[in-house]
Amino acid sequence: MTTQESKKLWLSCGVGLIWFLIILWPLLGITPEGLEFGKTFKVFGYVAVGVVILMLFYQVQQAGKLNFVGTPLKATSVGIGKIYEITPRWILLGIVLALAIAFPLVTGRYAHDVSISVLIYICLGLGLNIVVGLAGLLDLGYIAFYGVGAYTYALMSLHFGLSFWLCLPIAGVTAAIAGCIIGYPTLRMRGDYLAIVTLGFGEIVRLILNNWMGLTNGPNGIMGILRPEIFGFQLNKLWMLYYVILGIAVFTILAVYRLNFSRIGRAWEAIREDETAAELMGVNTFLLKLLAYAMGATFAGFAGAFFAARMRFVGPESFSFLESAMVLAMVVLGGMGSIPGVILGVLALVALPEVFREFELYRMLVFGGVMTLMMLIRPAGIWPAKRVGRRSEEAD
Amino acid sequence: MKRLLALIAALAVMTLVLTGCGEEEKAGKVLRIGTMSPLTGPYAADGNDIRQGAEIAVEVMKEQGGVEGYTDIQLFSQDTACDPKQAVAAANKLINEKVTAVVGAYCSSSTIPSSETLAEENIVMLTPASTSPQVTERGLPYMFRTCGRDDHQAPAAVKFMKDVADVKTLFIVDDKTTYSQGLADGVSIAAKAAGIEVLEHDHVNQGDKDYSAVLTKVKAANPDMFYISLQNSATGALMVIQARRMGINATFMGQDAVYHPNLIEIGKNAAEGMFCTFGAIDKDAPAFKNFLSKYKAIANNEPGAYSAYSFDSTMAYMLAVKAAGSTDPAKVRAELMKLDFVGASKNVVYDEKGDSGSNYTVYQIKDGKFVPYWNSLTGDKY
Amino acid sequence: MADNITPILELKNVVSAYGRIKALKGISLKVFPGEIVTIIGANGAGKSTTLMTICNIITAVEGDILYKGERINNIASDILPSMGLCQVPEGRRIFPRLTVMENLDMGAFFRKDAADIKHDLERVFELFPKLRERRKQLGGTLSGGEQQMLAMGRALMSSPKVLLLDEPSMGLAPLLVKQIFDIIRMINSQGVTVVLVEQNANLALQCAQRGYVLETGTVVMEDEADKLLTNPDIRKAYLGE
Repeated sequence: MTTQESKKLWLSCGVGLIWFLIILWPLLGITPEGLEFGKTFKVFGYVAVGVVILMLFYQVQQAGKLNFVGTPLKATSVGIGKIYEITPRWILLGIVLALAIAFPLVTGRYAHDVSISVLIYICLGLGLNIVVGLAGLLDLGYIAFYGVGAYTYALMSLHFGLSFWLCLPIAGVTAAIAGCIIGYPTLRMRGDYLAIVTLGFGEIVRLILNNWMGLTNGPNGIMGILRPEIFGFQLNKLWMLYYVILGIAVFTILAVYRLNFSRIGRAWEAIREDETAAELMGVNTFLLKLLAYAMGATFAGFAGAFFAARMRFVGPESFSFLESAMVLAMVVLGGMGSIPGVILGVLALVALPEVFREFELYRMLVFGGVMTLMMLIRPAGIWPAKRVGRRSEEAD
Repeated sequence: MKRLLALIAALAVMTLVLTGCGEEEKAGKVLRIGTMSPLTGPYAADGNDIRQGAEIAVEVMKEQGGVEGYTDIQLFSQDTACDPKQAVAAANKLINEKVTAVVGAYCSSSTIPSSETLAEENIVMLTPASTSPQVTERGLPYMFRTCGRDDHQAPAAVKFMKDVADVKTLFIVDDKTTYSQGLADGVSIAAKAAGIEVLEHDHVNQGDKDYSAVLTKVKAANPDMFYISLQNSATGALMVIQARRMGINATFMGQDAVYHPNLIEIGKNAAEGMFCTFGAIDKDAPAFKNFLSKYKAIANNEPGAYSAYSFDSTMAYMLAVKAAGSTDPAKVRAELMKLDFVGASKNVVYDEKGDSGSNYTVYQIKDGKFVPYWNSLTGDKY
Repeated sequence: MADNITPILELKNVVSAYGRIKALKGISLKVFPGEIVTIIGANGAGKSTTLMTICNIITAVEGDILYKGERINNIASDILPSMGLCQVPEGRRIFPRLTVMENLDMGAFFRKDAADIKHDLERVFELFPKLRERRKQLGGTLSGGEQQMLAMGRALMSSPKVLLLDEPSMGLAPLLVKQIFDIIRMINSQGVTVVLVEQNANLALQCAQRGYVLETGTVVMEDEADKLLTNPDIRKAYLGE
């Protein structure tokens, strides 16, 4: 790299660091006791040293000095890529599935806990993907359906002692009904209005859960929910629950995959692309939009029922707008409309913060930084839906 | 395609890190104790008090020679943020750290679900702050409570209102959470039974900052006493400040969640004259003075409201392990039952259910300080 | 060529509005089976509104819209293609992130007859060979002309009896425009009635049998196309003389 480019790089690096310092000091330096500088400079010091090392590393790599490491690495990754290409799809998926099944046997309780969360959010993300990614309806209150599913199982279990397996489809149905109720008024709306109204409905559901003491026990939530049972044997251990949610997640993935490539999926995409044109082509946009809400809600309902069984306790604070936003972030970050993308998005937003737990208080800072970085370098998502084309003029 | 590779690589890395998080170095017989409390969020002040109390207890025990048979005592602190979901996650993390006892949590709505998780692994739980009666009414054998319970706190408060403060009309407000509402309901029932007229029992939402809606009602009702049952001192202070600003002249009374130096710090003049029920901690007792000096020496700051209870909980567990010679839950429970020691907060004796008795005292804020005003057990003023 | 007995499409005093603003102030027109009828007029005259009103995207406030003699004012827009009435909207409005094939499939969305759909697909590819070439490409990556072909192909996939075209020449190079109009004539010769809304009055009147002239929401003139072409007022206003 030329001296010119090198200078530019260091300059922008320096500006970035100064900017960082300016933002950092008010956060760390202003305390009720007064203004302090020590802490700020300490953190800044670490970051600056880290950045400088990275820059030097980068420069050395650009100058080709690291090729003795880089080239064999690249060759290996090309080799792996080749192997990947020739392996048929189903073997790869089979490997992933086998790993998923073997996972709890080689890991501890904490890993089980995190992976259960990941699988729950995968169901949620895929469900929301139907509404937002496929049908293009910006739903900001999606978590309400999660809550409906959870409370359905909680109440059924508490008042009627119904088994988890029976309540699972019931929760799906009640969530779907909620989806239709919430979807119906929004059918005439587009864009921003749709977003705000769905956000409002999400909040309404949470407030109902929080205030209808007679039904939901308000903020105290419902306790003592039963775990799932198989022939009288209670699935009490965490790893058993892992397999239950794995089953639900696999079912969700398969269902969403089928929907993606079905007539209905095409119609949803047409609605997303141009609703009026779709209408003119004979697509009943009213019914299909309602169906999108209902189907998305159903998967959230399943996830909710499982959540209630796993926590043995549900409370309204688990179903806030922040949760809706998180699920939306997972879908957008991972790549709207694509199943592996949503899975990656969930991993990034659920598993990654756990990895960062070591950083304790700086966890959120690091997390936020990673998010910002992602949006800068891959705005279409980590793994957007596989739709690439070139302009026909360029092709000729 | 490179992307699937990336996914698989990401999964692999995640797995490695997570499994790595689970393993620990060769134990070598270390006594592992966990704490669970809100280290972040609105209740962080009390949560950190709880953590500190436990830390100091461990230090004190080490000074006294540690626990025989164990080369070290390690404390693992987790954050619940007073959110049931996070509390359960924290419990799981502590189970992974292979703790044998947990001191926590703070909010009853966190303690109850996480206690079920811990009970599955037979881990002893000692809560220094959760006062909801439900905590010890579920028949969990390893659940202990070092603080008082609300079904004693409420009658104590009402007795004070009737016998000492001569209250005829009462307005109650709570934030609908397990603890706050449970206590408020208890006060309402006891007050009615005692012949005090409960003008209204209204609610706000946890996280609300503007109480003008409910305070307008209070002003219109003009009660003798305004009973404030919220989850922490900051919100209590807000309520009190806004009430005074509106010109409400009633006497204020709070409960043990609101009782914290923060209340005075934030509430300033508005909090002057307010009453609070809290488990009596005799600040003149030698045990407390001892605790206080050790605390200040190690922590460099004053103990908070729950530090003493947390200290005692941790001490109780370590003493029981010492006596039992192991961490076997059944043996430890037997020893905890036999325990009778003078703790920093009170005389610690656990009953069959795991409760250690309540001795609520009514404190009053006088000249910017909490001053004991009335003892519910003896009925005497100070 | 025109069957003078029943118009296949007829508007009687149709009024339609955007909120308070009346876009169509009572227009009447007739389209006979097998014809090409054109509606010309300046920008904002209400031409697109007319087509959108026929398709019930904009609801007519007053008046009757008759298709094959039956009133269709209250029939939902998505049912019309199955009745044989299909529109190629203004600006193409293809589905950009669906492939060419998927776009064409959407045209036949409501149809159940798989064999006939295949047959029609073949015919569309014969009419528009470029689409066959690009059938796996995303609609949004096609050039303007190709998108126009795609939009028309998509509408043809619904096997329409009456095809409504909204400004097919817009934004296209002259050579492409000629191609499009040749294809319109070809489609018409195969039995499809065409209602052509156009700003390019010259081309439209050369292609159609009859024409209507729209001005601020009313029909100001109706005549045979060649008569309109030679009409001095029309020539002054719309044919650039």
